[in-house]
Amino acid sequence: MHHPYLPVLLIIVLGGLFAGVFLLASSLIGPKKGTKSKLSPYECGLKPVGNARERLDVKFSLVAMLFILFDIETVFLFPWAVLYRDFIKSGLGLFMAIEMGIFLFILAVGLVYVWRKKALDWR
Amino acid sequence: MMDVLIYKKIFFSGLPIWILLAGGLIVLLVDAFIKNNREIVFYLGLISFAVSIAFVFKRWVTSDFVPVDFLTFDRLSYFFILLVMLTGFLSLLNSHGYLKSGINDDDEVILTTMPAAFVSLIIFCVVGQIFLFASDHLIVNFIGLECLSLGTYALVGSRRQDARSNEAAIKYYVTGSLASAVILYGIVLLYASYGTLRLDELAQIKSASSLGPVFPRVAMSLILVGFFFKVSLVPFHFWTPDVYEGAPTPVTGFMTSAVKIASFAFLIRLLNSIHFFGDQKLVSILAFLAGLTMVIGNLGALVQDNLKRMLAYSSIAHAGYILLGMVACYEGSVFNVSLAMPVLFYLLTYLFSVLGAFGVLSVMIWDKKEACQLSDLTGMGYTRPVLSFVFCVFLFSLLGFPPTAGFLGKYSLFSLAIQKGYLGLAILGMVTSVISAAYYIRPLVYLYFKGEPGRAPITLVTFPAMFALVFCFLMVLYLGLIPTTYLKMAFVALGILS
Repeated sequence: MHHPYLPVLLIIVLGGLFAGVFLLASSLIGPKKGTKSKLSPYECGLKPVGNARERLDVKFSLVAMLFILFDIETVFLFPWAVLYRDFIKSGLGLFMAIEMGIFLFILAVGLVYVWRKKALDWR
Repeated sequence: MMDVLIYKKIFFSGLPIWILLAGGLIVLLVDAFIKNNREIVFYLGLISFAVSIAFVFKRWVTSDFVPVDFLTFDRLSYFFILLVMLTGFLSLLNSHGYLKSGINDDDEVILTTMPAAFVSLIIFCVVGQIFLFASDHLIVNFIGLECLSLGTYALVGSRRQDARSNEAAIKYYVTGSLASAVILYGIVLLYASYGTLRLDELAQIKSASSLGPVFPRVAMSLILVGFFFKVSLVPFHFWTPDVYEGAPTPVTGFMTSAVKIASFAFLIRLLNSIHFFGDQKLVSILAFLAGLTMVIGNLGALVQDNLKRMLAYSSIAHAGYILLGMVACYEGSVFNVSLAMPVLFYLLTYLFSVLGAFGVLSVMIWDKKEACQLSDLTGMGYTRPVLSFVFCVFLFSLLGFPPTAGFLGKYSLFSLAIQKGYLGLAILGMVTSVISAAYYIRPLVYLYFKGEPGRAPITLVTFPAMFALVFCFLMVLYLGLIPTTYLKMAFVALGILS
């Protein structure tokens, strides 16, 4: 019987290993053509130095809002999926599946709405 | 298998809400796939409101009151569900002209809006309101409050081309979010003090919190302050005139009626459960705020030239009257909910009077703008005699003039206050009511006695808007003359009669 936290240790080791190998490999065999923007620190596409009070396109907040909406959907899905076996055991399997179906349906209506309203187009 | 039964009960007890929710979703889907859908979504919204109101009545008659998790469907809840659904229904009817007036005959854009978004937002606001007061769990209450508030922010800004509407939306959003944050912080402190957020469990608590007496006191104060902001009680009222003026008129009507009704319904539930504030101080603070609100609301309304601002201050004053009724329900330091009948009845009468008044304002257009200045009314009593007469009746009802509903509402509130020994406050209420006559009668002067007919604004009385006006008018008179059925209904809601 192995230690219960052994998988965690394995993931840490494997994660470190992969990250290290890829960094090393790209620095050894990748092409190196540095431009000004490529060499600047990574800041999600913004200029790292400049006026902090620059105006942002309002579309960013629209995208952010939609992201949070569908992000929360996933947050709800995870505990539901983890507990689903217990639901089946207590005879609530079908009921909970329908419940989640309704939840997803409401969100799907929202998705269809923003899609058809072209809120996902960047114009 | 017990759980399945409970969920069945939630499903059937909450059927009106689910129908309404489904209606809102269908409206969104229609908007996604059908173009030029203004009339379709409008009538879809109306139908879903009508069907759910019918179901509320059915549940009201037959419900068996089994408490279910998180949601409380007792008769008090159903009473308020009926009220907020009526406000949603009537506001939707009122907004028909507003949704229609997107483009005038010369192809000029005058008041732009998105009909489907508007209709679905009204529906989702009403659903949020129901969760605000029909729950025993403070987190569910808070989610309902947020659903309501976010919807209202968007509705206030729904006239996108108009700078004032945008300004009002931003003002309401910034201040309203602060109030929500304050409420949430209060809820958190309450949880820290007692380790539960169920109102029925909080009602059972006898011993002091392990954190000392200060924590729950601060928590309650924060929650109350937040809700006082939402119902615009003095001194948390500063946003009200600006926001009410900038918002489209039907939305203002919705805010004055629905948001207040839902918040007061929640306050009744909250104060009924939480006794541990345990001393007279809370009651005297509430009494003081009620008096202050009545005075400042009515005095502020005196100097307004804009009808919407005037009605905004008048709605502040009405919040003060309602709070007076809630104060009178206190026996010592315990809130006795069975005395709250005047509050319930007052909210009912207030709903029809204020929605009627805003319904009249919604159909008036002057120079492609809303006609909301007092001077816009000049001579309308002769060009539009019926509409003007109806408007006067609504104003008299808000004032509390005898044959109308407002009179009985105020009468029952003040008589309760006098019975419970708040003679001073009741007299203050009556004096401020008399003062309020000055500004409720000013529109009459403009309507009938300021001469030259013909300068009156255009009116866009569509059939649904007319239906709303007639309905409100009849209800105002009916409640004023033969209120027995509705008084009984309020008693039943409080569990005094069956």
